[in-house]
Amino acid sequence: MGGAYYVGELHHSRAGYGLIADADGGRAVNSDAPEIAISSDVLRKWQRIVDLLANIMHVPSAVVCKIEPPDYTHYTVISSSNSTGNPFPVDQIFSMDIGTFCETVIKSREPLLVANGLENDQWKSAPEMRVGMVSYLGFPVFWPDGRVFGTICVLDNKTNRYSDMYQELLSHCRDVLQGDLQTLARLGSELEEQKAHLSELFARVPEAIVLADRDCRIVRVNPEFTKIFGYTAEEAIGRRLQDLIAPDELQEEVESVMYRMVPTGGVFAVETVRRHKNGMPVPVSLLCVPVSSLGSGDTGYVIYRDMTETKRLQDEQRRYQEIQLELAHANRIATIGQLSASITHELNQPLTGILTNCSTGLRMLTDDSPNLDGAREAIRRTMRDANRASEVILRLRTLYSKREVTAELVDLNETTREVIALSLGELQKGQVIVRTEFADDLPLVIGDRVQLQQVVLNLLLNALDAMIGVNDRPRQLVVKTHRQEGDCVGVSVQDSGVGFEPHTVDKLFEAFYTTKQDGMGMGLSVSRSIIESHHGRLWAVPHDGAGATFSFSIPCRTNTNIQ
Amino acid sequence: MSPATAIVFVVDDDISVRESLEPLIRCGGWQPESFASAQEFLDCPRAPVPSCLVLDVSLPGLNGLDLQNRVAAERTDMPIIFITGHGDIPMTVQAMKAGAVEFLTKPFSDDALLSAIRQALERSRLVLDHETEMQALRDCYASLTPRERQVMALVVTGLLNKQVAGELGISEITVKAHRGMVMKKMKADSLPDLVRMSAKLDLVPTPKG
Repeated sequence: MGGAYYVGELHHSRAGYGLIADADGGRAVNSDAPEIAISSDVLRKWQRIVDLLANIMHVPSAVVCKIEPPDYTHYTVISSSNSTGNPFPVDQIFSMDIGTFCETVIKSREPLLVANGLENDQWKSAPEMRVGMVSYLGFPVFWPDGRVFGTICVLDNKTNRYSDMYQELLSHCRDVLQGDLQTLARLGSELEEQKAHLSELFARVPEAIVLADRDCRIVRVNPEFTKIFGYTAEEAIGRRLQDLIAPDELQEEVESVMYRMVPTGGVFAVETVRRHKNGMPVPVSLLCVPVSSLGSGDTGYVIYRDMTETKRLQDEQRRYQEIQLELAHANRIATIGQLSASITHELNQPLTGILTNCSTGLRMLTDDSPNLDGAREAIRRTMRDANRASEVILRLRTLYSKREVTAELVDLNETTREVIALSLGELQKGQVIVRTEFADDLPLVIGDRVQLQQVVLNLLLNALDAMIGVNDRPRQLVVKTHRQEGDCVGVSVQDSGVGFEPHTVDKLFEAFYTTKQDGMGMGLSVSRSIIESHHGRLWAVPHDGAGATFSFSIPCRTNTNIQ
Repeated sequence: MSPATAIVFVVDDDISVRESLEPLIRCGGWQPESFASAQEFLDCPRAPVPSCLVLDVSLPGLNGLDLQNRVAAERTDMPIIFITGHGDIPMTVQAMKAGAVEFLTKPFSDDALLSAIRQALERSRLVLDHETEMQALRDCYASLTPRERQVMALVVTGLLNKQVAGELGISEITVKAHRGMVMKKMKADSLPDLVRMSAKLDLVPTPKG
């Protein structure tokens, strides 16, 4: 029998407490727990249960009652069977001090069976007798935390001993009710938790959150709003967003933003400027979240992130990049300056060809017996030489130009070959023997071709400078490209020059460190920053014998697309 | 090409320069011969015709100034015209001191080069003529007997036949006969002529014992 489930004491004297979990159960129960509403679909289900109960058990009345918090002084009928002769309508209220059957069940937390109250002194004056309900079978219904929710019971207008099967049926229905309560309680606590989380989020998120209605009036703001814009919640609520924080010149923008905030619209973000209470502009990243489930005319949330610091960092970063670009460019100009002999040579060769071919052609044409074939040939050679000159100019122009860093696919073999070609005159003048060992099938790298050429150029000219004073051995320069472990591609420049002391290796790459009489000490420092911006590294190794090797490697990404 | 045509040698490692100079030289009426390196040029056999060398200063391996030293020592009949893409003053001075005819900076005008070549070939011709003359003189001198050379050496110092005879301890008649042979073999018209020949041959008068 159901009573076996609950062993509890009856607390007659303190009705309120008596409804709460018993001391023996040891369950901590919060009597202030928020009231959980019984949803309409649950009520519909319960109505069906009491109807079925009345029908199956052939009784005029089946009822679910609910004790009413917070003071538990009365209970209400919340479901009552639609059966002939049922005297208890839904919403009927009973006081907890008139001695009803249900009152007894609630207080005792025990099931109760009364076959006929009129035959029993204890019950013959119970209120149910007055409406002809002489027999009663009821079970207490509990919340999952042990508090009494109410009762489920059946009543009859004649003697009814309620067979074991009926008792079990009713007990089972009670279990169904308790299952529903458990679900409701769980949903309720989850909801509470979510609410708590949301409130905490609202309070602590480092972004200003505004809930606005369809007139752009502020309904709610969080503390960060006050921090960012200077207005307290009291000052803000009820004001229109465009009146409060929109700079004069951005009125239209604010209105158009709000105009886009229709409940059916999607989330959208804007980077813009708003105004602090003190009149100062506040750069913000603004996120509009239209909400359709809010009802009551609220349009949605506007979230502002204060971008002041981000903007400052971005500006700083941009300035830093600009300075780096300037430095790299300055170094490039300076380096190319050192190439003047090479460049003059590179240009003078084709120019000499052009001039000589033209004048020879002219002579051939103006001769008494013009040599047309010879002139034609001379013109053909002129064109070839002119193209050659323009290629030199093109190579130089890209090196000279000041431009944004670009990401392109770079063939280090070709890049290195071009730089060697540009500096060949310089190397020849310095009587340097150049040997190249280029790796076959070198994967392409992603990077800035001009900057990488600049690095190779710096290394070549350094090597040349290191060998210029060497007279007791061949001035030998070996330029290699190679594939390295970890999918890296590298270039190394090996010279037979004066080398360097191993302990100075770290200093080599510092800005303004130089061992040359007219050096600025920028070349290697700029080169290293270029290589590092390519996620690679640049290093130097002195030889045991004469000279040193400078190398760099950068990762190759064969499958990466350039944006 | 007749063997008398002057040859203009070109040594420049740049194909544009070589290929453009060849037709120009041909236009000037000379025979161009071009090489990409100093070594290739040195390996080529020389010809007994007026010639000059158009030479790039900066060459791979043996450079222009090195080659100039070799040529100055071995081929006096081959004046050098330097061409350069980046001539600096010390280099120019060094080249001109070492006897270069002209130092042209690329790009140069055709007239400048042609006139330099003309001048160089003229010089070459002069050297060659002089060489020919000297060779003839040396051949004549070589045909003298030792006694005739002794007589010639004394005669050109202005000694009379009697004094020569006294010096050599032979008769004046004998001296006269030797002197006649000397004049004939040396193809000298007069005593001053013989004195000039002696000077050209750089004969040192035998000091009076």
